[in-house]
Amino acid sequence: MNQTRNQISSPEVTVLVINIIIGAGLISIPSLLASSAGADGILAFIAASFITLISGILICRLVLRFPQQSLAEYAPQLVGKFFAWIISLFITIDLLFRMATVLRTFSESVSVFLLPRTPSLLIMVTMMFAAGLLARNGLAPVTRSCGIIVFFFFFHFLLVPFVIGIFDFGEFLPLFQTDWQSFAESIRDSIITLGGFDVLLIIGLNVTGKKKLLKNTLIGITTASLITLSQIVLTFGTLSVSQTAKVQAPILETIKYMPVPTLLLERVDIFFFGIWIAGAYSTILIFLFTVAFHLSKVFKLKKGDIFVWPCAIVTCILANLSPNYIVSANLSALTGYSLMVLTFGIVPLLLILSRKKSSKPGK
Amino acid sequence: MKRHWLLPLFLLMLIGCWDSADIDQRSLVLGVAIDPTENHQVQMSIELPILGTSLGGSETSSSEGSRVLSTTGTTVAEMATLLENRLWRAVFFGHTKVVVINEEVARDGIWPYIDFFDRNPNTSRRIKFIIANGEAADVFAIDNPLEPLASLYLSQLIEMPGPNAAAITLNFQDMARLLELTGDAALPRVRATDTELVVGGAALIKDYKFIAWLGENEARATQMLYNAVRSERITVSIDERIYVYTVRQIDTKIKARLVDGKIEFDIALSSDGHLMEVFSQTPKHTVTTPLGEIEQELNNLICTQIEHTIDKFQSYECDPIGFAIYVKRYYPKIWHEQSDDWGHYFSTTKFNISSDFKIRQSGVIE
Repeated sequence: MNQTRNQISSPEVTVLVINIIIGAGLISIPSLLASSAGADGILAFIAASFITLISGILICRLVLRFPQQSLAEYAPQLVGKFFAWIISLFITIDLLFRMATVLRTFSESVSVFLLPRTPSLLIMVTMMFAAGLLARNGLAPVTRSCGIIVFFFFFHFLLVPFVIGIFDFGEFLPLFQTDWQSFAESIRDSIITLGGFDVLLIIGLNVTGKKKLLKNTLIGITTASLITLSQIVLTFGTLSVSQTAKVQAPILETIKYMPVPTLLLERVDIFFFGIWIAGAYSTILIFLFTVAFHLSKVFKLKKGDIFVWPCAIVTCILANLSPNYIVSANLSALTGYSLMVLTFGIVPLLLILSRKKSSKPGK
Repeated sequence: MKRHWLLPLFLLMLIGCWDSADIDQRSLVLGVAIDPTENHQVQMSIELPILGTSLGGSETSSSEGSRVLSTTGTTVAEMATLLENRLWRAVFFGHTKVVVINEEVARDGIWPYIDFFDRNPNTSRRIKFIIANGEAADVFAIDNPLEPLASLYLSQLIEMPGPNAAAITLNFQDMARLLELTGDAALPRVRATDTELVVGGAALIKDYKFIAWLGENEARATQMLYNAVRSERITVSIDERIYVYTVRQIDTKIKARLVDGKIEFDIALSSDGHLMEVFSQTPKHTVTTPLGEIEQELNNLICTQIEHTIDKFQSYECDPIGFAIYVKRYYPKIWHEQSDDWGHYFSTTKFNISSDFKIRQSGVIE
């Protein structure tokens, strides 16, 4: 992970943000929203998108205040060594757990839809191995591979002509029927799905041409939100809200419901499953690089690649902790709270402290 | 050089082979039939294509183009396992086209059979659940050289683009959507002869249980209410002449309205079509075809058939069309109040039916 291999341009931030947002959560978010908020799930997602944009602005502002430093490097200046160490530990655990959640969701879905007899652990190890190989080479190769994957995220728009005949706009009714608690849960689930770009706090220093960092980050968040929203709309309108709530991977079920023109396309869902695997891979890849890079900064090492394999192993262990998918979903909700603590607690706090410090004479 | 230790790990990329199953190691199930047995269990029959015979073979009948295996049990998964033990190949439902359920089994409930296919990740959401008038397994036993695979034949009969509105075209997803809300639906009916399958009429499902048959006209009215008629021929008689009218597409709009605190439904049907034939026993030189009269007669006929069919639904307190969906969408408060006893509420609901069928052409003669 030398310096040049880690440097990425500002436009590449957009690719990175889209890839980290569109991960394993994409496959299940329509189902989560439909079950907790029904048709109002779409409103909850839109609300969450705006909240996410605000958090994107906060994170970029903080990165721009310390353009040459990672969070582990500038936090001690703001909150002191002890609290900086606590924050770094919190971020490390948070990243590992979030990566583990993605990995678990990935392996569960692969087990159900693709490889029912292959042990889940082996699926996880393979994913982490593939991610680790690339993550060790630095951020630039990671971003370039994400640049290839990102085009596939737009493929589901090709489904639209096939779906028109079975699409029902009435499924988006009735609106405003959900209680506030369920609506808030849906927003939380949406924020988890749209989360991940907070890695910029750690890897933001590697971006060259930081003037456009904010703009490119917001473009990335908006694009990823629109891609996810389009999938939610697609599944709600074709499968119905009640059916979407029932199934684990609504977009795949939508494809199975489409009136396909030839028998050759009968299992076209497998193609889209492949795209989803690529999405999960890119998310894990970015998380893995970030956590290794973060640890290198915490321990003041020049290279972070020595942390890649240990982090991959820890992630596999964490992903295996949950005995079933229900516990795993609860864990996922917990990571959502930690994400909120980070973006709406720690980041604003550091921003305020940095402003105070810089406003003091001589600072 | 230092990374040689990584090389064996590349074998991990082959883990997909763990689940590898060649096509000859799979039993591709095209159709499933469920029949009752005497000991409160059910008999499940599956139709498996004999690849090669069914694809390229000449003069193959269903009995030659496919193999039908049966076993008895309680759950579908249990019976599938029993069949796997006899076949050595894994039973694969990814290409299943039809699930035919005997009417006696359906009277006890179709829920257990829906659940299995709903959970199976390989099942297409376009498979058809069909209620058999008679033994369900007889569907696979027809001897027809033109149709080597009975399941595909049956699936095509239901999906064919030609004029067959007397067959309900509801697929698994449509059915699941209706059943989810009220437990009511109308499923296609099939009857097997020695050489043919006859698809027409429908099975009325209430609370996931078969309760009554619908005749062909009632099934056609049901299809209209599902807004699923793409082509149909309707005949009307005026002054000893029979006019055959071909419908291109029927557009049905259903609207729920609140009138004096009670829900009413407006059903408006419209269609374009043309006269296909004017049948008369005595030769008469047609000067002008009474298009206005024919249209009037057509509209009366359609309204009467729809009214009659809805009356039948109301008499059974059964809502197979999903009128409840409209109430849930547009009057959620009323839905919350009435959802527990929707069948009763539905049976007292008023329907305003209107039809606007137009004849665009009368063929190449006037």
